[in-house]
Amino acid sequence: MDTYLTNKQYKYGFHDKVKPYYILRPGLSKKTVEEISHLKNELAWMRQSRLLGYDFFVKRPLPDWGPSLRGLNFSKLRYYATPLDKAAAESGYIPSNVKKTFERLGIPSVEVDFLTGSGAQYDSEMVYHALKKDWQGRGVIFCSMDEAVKKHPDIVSKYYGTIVTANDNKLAALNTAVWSGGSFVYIPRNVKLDKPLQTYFRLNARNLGQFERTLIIAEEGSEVHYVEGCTAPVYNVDSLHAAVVEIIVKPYARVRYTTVQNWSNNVYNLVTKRAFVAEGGVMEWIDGNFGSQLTMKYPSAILAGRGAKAEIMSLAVAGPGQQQDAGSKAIHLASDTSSNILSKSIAHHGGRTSYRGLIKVAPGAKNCKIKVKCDALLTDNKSQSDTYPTMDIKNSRTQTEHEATVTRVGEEQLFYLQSRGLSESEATSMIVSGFIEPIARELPQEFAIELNRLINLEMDGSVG
Amino acid sequence: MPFLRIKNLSVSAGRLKILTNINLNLAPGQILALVGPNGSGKSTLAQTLMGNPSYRVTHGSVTLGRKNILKLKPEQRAQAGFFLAFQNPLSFSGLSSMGYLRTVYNNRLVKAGLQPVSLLDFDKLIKPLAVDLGLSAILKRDLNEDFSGGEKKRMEALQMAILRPKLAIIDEIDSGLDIDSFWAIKTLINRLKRQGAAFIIISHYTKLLRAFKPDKVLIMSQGEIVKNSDSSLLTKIDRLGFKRLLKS
Repeated sequence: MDTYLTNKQYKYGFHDKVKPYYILRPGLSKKTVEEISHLKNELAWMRQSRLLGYDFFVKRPLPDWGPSLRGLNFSKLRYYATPLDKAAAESGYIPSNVKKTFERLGIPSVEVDFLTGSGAQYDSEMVYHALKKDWQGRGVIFCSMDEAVKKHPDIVSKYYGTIVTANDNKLAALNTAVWSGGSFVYIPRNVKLDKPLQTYFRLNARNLGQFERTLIIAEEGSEVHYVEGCTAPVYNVDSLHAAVVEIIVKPYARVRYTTVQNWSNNVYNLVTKRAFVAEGGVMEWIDGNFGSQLTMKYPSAILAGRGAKAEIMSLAVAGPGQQQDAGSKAIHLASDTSSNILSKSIAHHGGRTSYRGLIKVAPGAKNCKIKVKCDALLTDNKSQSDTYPTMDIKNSRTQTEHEATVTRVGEEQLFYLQSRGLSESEATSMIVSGFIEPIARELPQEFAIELNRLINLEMDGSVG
Repeated sequence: MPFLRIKNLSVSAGRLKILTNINLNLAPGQILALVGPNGSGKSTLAQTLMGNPSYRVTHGSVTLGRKNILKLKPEQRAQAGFFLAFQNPLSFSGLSSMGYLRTVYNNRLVKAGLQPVSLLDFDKLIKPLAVDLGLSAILKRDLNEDFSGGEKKRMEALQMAILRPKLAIIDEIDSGLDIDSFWAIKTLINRLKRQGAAFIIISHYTKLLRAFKPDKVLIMSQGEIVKNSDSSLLTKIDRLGFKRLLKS
């Protein structure tokens, strides 16, 4: 709790001097897509998939049902970069300034025994990762998506693009066309990993959109917790992050996917995250969103098998000039499925948050249980929060609970804490950390600490 | 030289004048009992001294030693040695009492230029105090959330115990308090008093106030101090009640 007292600098706003080895000129065309595929030395099926994605990207309009995306200029973005040459990557050599970047982010040493296996993404390519030997022995695969496409083409081609198709939405289509990096995780039948798999992502090359693609397959009866963290240096040119995450939860498997992201405030963060959950399976999304100019993110679960469950917790923090449009979707296709959604948002110093949620229950899905709770906290009069819940329930035997609250940090609460010696911003931080506690306690410890630190910086007004 | 000096203090809330021409002096180690009927302005005075922004000082001065308190923010007043035990402490969901206490304690140390204490050392410090006040079981719970009236009062006392104020204003600490807790708090107040702390104790109950052996007794009515005397005043209040006493 004494993190309230620690450093007041935005420690992630540095920009080191790594020269990307390949960096494409700005703009996107069919040729760019082919060039990316060529640079990656891909097989025909992946090249075809990219080109299909490109066609859909060109044809589809920008989503018009939410915040405006008109500030996005696709022709000014770069779509591919790699920080070091392949041979170096393959021999396990990591340039010292890349290492330094990770050190400054506190990555390699953060609670090492807790993290155990970790892969970190630098620009568009995985530069290193370590995987515990015993997991490998049990048949677990955890590598970069690029590597998986080459080394495990059978599994990848079987599942890739099945949960989020090339034509799902404009940004998913773009990702399909130009994706690079991201993680691939395969957990064999009945293998239960008791420690989380962890990766860090980081946007580095100026003006570079990061389009990572993650695919997780949890076979029947398996369990995995995947943790991903993001911080970004501050840029003055608009940047785009458009990722796709696909997760397949086989019968009675359990997947937890934890993300804490902190984008610099010029980034458009537009991510499609979806899980398919079979009979008796459990999917848990824990999603924390800081920073960015605009985030649109709605982790989803398709509950396709009897008794499938989804837990979706999200946290969004919006400061000055920022908009967090976050929420979740649960699609109940089978009987006895349940979804439990908890969304918390904080708008401060004039920031704007909105909850956008969709719940669908198919006509044949009986005895579904749905619980949605969204709480918004406003720290001042300039900040704003909205709620857009949609419920489309086609089966009358559905048990639904919905609760939404908007709270403003009260003057009396602040005064009480100030009377104990805390400044107004320290008091606000404290109230906010209380507010997010139900989500913070679900995070791995070092993430929870980082979260508190970020909250303190944000409430202090020193980020932005 | 008195160490707390309130001189000709007048206070408004919005357009309403709620305190008029308050004068009061207090020396280290002294206890002042502030009594008066409901709505007479006792809590307003307490909140004003701590710096509640809802109350506006229109006239007068408050000094602690040589410090002009009125220019300070509430947290600076706290740092200067003020403490207010609230009549109605606020609750904070998601904030563990233990974590809160440690933050408040370390915050005080750091702002005084000292090193914060470790989790372990704080644990050693807080445990015996919490046991004395019968709070050990609830330190894990969220601060004041679903606490009984008495538990909230004891939590206020625990904060006072770790912050060790120079001037503590205790606003109706007795309501909802059982007899054992009352004695525990009284013991704490006496200890702090021996270390030089001054107290303003607000209550309706003369019997309770008598237990503190106050050096001064003040009666407030309609935003003014109408009687200023020693503890013999408590006996008079008992005999006559406020109404008859104020007429006499």
